[in-house]
Amino acid sequence: MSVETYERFVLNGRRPTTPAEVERQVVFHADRVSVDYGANRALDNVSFDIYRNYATALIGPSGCGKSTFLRCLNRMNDSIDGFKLGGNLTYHGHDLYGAQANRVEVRRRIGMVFQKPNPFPKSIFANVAWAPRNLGMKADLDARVERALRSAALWDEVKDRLGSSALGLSGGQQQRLCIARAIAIEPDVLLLDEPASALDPIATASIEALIHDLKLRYTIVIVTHNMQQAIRVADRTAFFSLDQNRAGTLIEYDSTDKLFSRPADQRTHDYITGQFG
Amino acid sequence: MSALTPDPAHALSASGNLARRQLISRIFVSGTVLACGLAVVVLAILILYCAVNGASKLSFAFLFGGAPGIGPDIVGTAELALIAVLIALPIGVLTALALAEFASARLARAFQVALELMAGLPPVLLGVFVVILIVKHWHQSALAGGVAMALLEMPLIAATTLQALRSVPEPMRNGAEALGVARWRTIVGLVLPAVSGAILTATILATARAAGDAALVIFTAGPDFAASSVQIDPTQGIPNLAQHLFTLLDTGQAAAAWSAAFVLMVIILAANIAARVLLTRNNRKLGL
Amino acid sequence: MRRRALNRTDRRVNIALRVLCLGAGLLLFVALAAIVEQVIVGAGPAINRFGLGFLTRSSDWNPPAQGATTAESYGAPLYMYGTVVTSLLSLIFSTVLGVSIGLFLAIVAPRRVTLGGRWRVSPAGLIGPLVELLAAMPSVVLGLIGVLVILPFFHSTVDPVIHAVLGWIPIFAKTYTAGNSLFAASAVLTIMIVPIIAALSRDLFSAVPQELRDGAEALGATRWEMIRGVVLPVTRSGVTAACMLGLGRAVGEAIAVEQVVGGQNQGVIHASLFLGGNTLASMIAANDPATPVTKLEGASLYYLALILLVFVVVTILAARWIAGDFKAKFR
Repeated sequence: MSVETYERFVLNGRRPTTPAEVERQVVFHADRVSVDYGANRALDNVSFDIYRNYATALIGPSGCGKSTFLRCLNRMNDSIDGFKLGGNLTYHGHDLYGAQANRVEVRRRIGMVFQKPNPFPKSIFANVAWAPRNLGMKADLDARVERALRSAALWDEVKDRLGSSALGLSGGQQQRLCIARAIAIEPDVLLLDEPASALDPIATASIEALIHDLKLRYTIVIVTHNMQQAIRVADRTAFFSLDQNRAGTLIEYDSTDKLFSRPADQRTHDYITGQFG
Repeated sequence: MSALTPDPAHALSASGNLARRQLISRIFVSGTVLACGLAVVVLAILILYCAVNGASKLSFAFLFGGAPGIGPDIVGTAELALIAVLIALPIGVLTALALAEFASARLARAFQVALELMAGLPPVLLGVFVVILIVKHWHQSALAGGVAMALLEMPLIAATTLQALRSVPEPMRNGAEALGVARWRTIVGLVLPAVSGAILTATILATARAAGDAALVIFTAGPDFAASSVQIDPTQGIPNLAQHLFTLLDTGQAAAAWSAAFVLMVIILAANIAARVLLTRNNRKLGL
Repeated sequence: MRRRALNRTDRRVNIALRVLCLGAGLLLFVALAAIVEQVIVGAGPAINRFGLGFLTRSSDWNPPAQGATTAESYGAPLYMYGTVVTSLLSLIFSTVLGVSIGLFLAIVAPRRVTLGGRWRVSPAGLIGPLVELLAAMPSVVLGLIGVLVILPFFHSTVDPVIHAVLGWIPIFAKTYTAGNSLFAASAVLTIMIVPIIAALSRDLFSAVPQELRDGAEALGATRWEMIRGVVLPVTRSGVTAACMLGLGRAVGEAIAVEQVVGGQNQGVIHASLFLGGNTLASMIAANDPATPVTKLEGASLYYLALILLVFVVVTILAARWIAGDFKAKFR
């Protein structure tokens, strides 16, 4: 894609903030996205782009819709009663909610790790091997499991007990197992929904270190309520907050450095300096 | 990365083996829908057949008169149910209290096993037991039938009461006991009122089940199924609906049984619906 | 926490209530023990006469005809066979159906469906109570439906089709004329225990944490893969215990079975499921033990009851053991 086309179609004429971003492909393009649950508007008028091989953090006070937005990206909200998405949300130019889009296919390409570690009550090996088996990636399954566990920095801790139950692992190990499980099927994007909020500081540090490695290969979107964590792991940060109708919306989106050092919006400033939320 | 990594340029339609997997998934999911539909159809057939064949022959004389009417049977069933509840309700509730409040952990486990065994005993065995215990030494009677029904109801009432007792918030109980209120006052004044709705529901459901089970009464409650007039002496055999139906079936007069079956079904289903409505309202009141 | 001392009355009432409750609980054990004891005592003459041979001896049931002098003879194998066959067959049918219904109600059914653009209904909320109503259907009414609806239907439609297609296999051979058969009894039992298994397994499936289901779907699993890979393994022992409870009901059901099972006492175990038979429970129901032909026949009926008791207790204890395993796994 030429730079001109990229600027015209993907950035909607907006100039990129740094020259490096010109090289970046847009993975998700949100255009006036809104979410309703029945009569409640949870999210309103969210427009921004998420770039390839970046870690993008979504921050904001509780109830600002950041998790809701994240779950829209791989259609995990579909089964919620009354869920309705407005506006336009595309993935590599494909409409995520279009008639063509297959929900299972979407989730196969866009993996997700949840707030609370949720390993299956199976063995460690079976947790990682389950999804590849479903997808027919049966060749060299052992090697694939090992690769995934290594990528999740868990291999050395569990290589001698792959057959034992995943529920016997510590919280931090369980969460890394969930990450290994997600990358075992080689997705394109990893969505992380407050992946460290249930963990102690040491486990949190190991997850953060992992994110730095993973973004070399995957596009990462991470929801966090911890601003320090956003500063440590994210290249770009989106700040969500409530608008005057108490619906969540995007306030500001910029490189992490700029957002935290020179926020453009007063509300962002108030939030990151601890005067609100 | 391997060649299996999805190409982002590829549209979001099913790739790889997904089409086949989704077909399999759809087949199995349709299977569950079909099974559910089958259950609803069977229920509809049961109710419709009884309603169509039974309701047409209903009359005042049939409902309230003696044989061939079922007036005495309805009264008899009500009396049997009353006897059974008088026996099963106090014992069931007290047993549940013993389990929840007084028994040590080991004893509670033993109680639990005994309850489950008791609840699982087939009605026909309970009937046989009452035959050996009472009928052989005395004779068939409403009391014997009531005991058989109570044996079925007791574990059901105890189990539901126990479940309700265990869901009474611990702080509520501890709060009262920390204030130095006597245990019995806590139980009678706080705990039992909190679970009274559940006990009532359980009693209705258990009674409905026992009243509809002919195996309990055919050997115990008396030979007199087609009574010409109302009988209420509890020491004598008593006509009742379940047995009336069974005898009609057993003597090859099934077609005559539709109306009685319809009445029995309506009573039992109405009791069930009432119990469930009560339970929902009670749960809402307790904020469950 | 130091409690205020109780006054004398309160202490006495406390003790009285405790004694009353534990006494009632004790009554439970007494009742259970009495049932076992009384059935054994009742079966005494038959046990003395036949011993354990009752379980294997020629499967006839011959009470003496009026004034006849031939020796009476009783045996259990025919009825044990009938119980095992009908309950296992119905267990297979109702496990498949009941678990499917449970899955539909807990997982597959959409939360809300809009009908005619106006009425928003929840299919599971509507059908769930109906399934529970089916469970409440009195067995004697089921027996009636069995005799007047199911038997004619089987006789005219189901049996001929099965014979035509599978008749070359011995268990599907040659029909009994009126449709009464072990197979018909299994069908009626299936109607009885499907709602039990469905309601219990629905509760188990609903209790599977949403996070686990989300976790599976976020890995690009289809609905069925999620069910097979996560929901069923997690609930396996609970569902098995539910099925054992259903089995217990099937083993012990007397009235509805007695109506449709056929009750042929030719003393031979037939290979075909489409011939008449009897089960332990239906045999007892059909031959009132309160008024037996002879003392020995009565005792033999109690002997059947004793065998039934053993069957049922084993099933319940197995269900309990499996369910305990389930709880241990869930912690």
